[in-house]
Amino acid sequence: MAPSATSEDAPMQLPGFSKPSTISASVLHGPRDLRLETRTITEPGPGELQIAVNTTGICGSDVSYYKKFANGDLCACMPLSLGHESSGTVVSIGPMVSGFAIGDRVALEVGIPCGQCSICRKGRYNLCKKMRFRSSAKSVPHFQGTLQERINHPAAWCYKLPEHVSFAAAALLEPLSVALHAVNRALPAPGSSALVLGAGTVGLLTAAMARQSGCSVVTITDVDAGRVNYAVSKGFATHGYVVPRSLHTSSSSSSIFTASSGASTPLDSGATSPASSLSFHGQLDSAKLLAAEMIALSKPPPSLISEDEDEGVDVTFECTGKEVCMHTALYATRPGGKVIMVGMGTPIQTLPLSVAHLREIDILGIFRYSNTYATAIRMLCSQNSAPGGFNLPSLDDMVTHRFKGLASAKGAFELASRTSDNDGNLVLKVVIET
Amino acid sequence: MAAQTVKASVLHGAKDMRIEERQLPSLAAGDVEVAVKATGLCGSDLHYFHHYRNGDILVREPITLGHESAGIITAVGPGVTALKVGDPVALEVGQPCGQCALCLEGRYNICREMRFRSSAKSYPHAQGTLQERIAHPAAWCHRLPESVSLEFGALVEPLSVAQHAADRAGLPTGSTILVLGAGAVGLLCAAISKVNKAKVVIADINEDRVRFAVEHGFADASLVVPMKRPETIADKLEFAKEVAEAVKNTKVGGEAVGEVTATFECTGVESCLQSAIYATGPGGKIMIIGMGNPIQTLPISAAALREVDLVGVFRYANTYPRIIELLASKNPLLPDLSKLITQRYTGLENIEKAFEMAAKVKDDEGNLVLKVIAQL
Repeated sequence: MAPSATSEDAPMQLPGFSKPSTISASVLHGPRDLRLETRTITEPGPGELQIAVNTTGICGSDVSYYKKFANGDLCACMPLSLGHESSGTVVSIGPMVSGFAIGDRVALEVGIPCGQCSICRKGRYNLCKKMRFRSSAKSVPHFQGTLQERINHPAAWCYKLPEHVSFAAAALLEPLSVALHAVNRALPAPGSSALVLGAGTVGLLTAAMARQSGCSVVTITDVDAGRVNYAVSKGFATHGYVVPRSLHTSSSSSSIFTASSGASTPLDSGATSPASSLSFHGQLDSAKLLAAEMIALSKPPPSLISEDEDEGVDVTFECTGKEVCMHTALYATRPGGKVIMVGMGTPIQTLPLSVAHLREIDILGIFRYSNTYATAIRMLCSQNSAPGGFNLPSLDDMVTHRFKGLASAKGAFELASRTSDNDGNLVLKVVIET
Repeated sequence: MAAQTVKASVLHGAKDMRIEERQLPSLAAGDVEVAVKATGLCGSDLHYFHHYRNGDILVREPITLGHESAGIITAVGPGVTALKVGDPVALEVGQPCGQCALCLEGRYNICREMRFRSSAKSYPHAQGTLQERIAHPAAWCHRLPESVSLEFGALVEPLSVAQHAADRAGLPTGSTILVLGAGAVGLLCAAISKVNKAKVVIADINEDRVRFAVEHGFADASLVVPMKRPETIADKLEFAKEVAEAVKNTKVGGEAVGEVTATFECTGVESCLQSAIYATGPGGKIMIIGMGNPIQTLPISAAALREVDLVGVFRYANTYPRIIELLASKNPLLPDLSKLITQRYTGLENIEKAFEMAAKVKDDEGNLVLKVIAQL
């Protein structure tokens, strides 16, 4: 039956293919109210592929929705499937799609911009006001996430995977894209020095991308020694610094240290105060000391540099979202450098802005990514192929915990909000395999 | 040969300005002697005058103010060939070290060893230009063509701030720009934006200033910001959002401008920076030019998650020649800058009056005070 000439909106359905089928889906109805449900799914429409989702990584925003049914200021207002870091297999192909075959393994870019507004046309489609991003409560009705058995997704936003790239690594292309986008905005010159605050998945990948883009020194920091060691031993960063936890607890459940007057060294754990009990200026001073420690780690020996070389790194990637880390970032960056704010952080912050202003340190934000997937896949193709040069550490190794089946989603979310599991092992990336 | 003692205006404490004699050093190789003729007064000069400090920078010894100057060469030192006696010049008063990584990559404005006349930052203080004559490196004196007056030569310095902001913003022509603050710096940022063919909306709490801006072609549209003083952070951000909405609804050419491409923040006031964040469109930039409280509370996610960048602008680098050329070219897009020079005082003995006037919003005749020039 030919499509009607007047109803251009009607999807082009070939006869016999219009039966919807049922699938199972993980659906969040409220805080921690995750249910396994059945849904119907139609055949893929024009330009669409139907993907059997294979692997989905869980990220901080998923965990936030899981716990609070909200992410920052965004509240979910209807049942929502989570998941946006996914890969899968093509099981059905809609009309007007070329270049794909049943069985193709693909990575999913789950944000669909309008493609027509001025910002889309300029290439910064991540900022499109009409962006529909799976698993985000921003658009209404909510664009459902990938924690479903199968989804229909525009073929234009599915990327075929080379054989050697696993589903898990492909799922990590999403956070890798965030890291790549951060480096694309920062544009460090070859040989630059970088500082990465936070050694979670985003911090690790950002550090790796900084190295990939030619930074010869990448120092990563975190309060968790396990993460810092992982980062340096696997080659995500060249240097690591463990931040004394006492300086970063805002709700001090750890023991309170008494402040000593005058010069206290942060590394001497008996001589510092928790951030909460310091005045704001005390916090800033603390951040300055920390910044100095971090920079000192990777400085060339004094004989190689003149005394008045600018102190500070060329670019700092702030991947924790915490206010005190922004302070440290500003003090650790050299005049004329950049601080890149990666990921969602504390929305309102009190900052020593004159440090940025008078030293022309630019503060750049990062929101998701644009034009990264193809490059990221290419990077995975050259992984381990060159004997010299930077080798991207294994993304598969970053997957520390796997949960099988959508029914196990609850356990996955509970674990993903922790930094170590019950056996004391590092929790980096938790995935759900379906 | 000119006398080696000159008279200078010297600040000894808050509002304690004295006229004193100074020894002019004999000219070092590469130096020239300049008779300072016109000097504009700026906010930092006023801060030093009123408080004997500028924010955290304290004055440690008597200091001559003034840094927005032009003058005439009265003597040239050994090895100077590009300038000769009688040449009118605009003075670029910051001397960077020339050797550090920042200087070598062209960003000499943020050189750590910068010695900037009239700033108490370095010690001994680099004395300002409010003196009869100074010795200055020829390399930092920029010859003015005949068509550019000495008064306009004095404007080259604040125009350079505006130009440097525009350079750092790197906006395409035809952008929509919000300028917060309609004092001299804001007006000059607006002027440079007009030269770059932008649509300019200027905002200030002072209605006369914004009206002036539109009347004289510095901006296309204006907004008067209400003088509210909200107390809680929630109220402050609410107010900032209201201001941003008002900006977006402002019409240029019959159409509401909507979110702007970039904001030039020239006030240093926290609530203005908050408003800037809400008024600037995704992917845009906020140029931080005005100096205010070093610590500010900001809705930073509203900027970061929309990739609205905060770009610091500190003084200028590599701007003087282009600004002088702009002034000489009589570019029709450049508003009439002579309207900016609102009061003039002649003679060292009247410098204190110039400072007092510069602190006012209006003079005794009801004219706006925008840029006060001290002439010698």
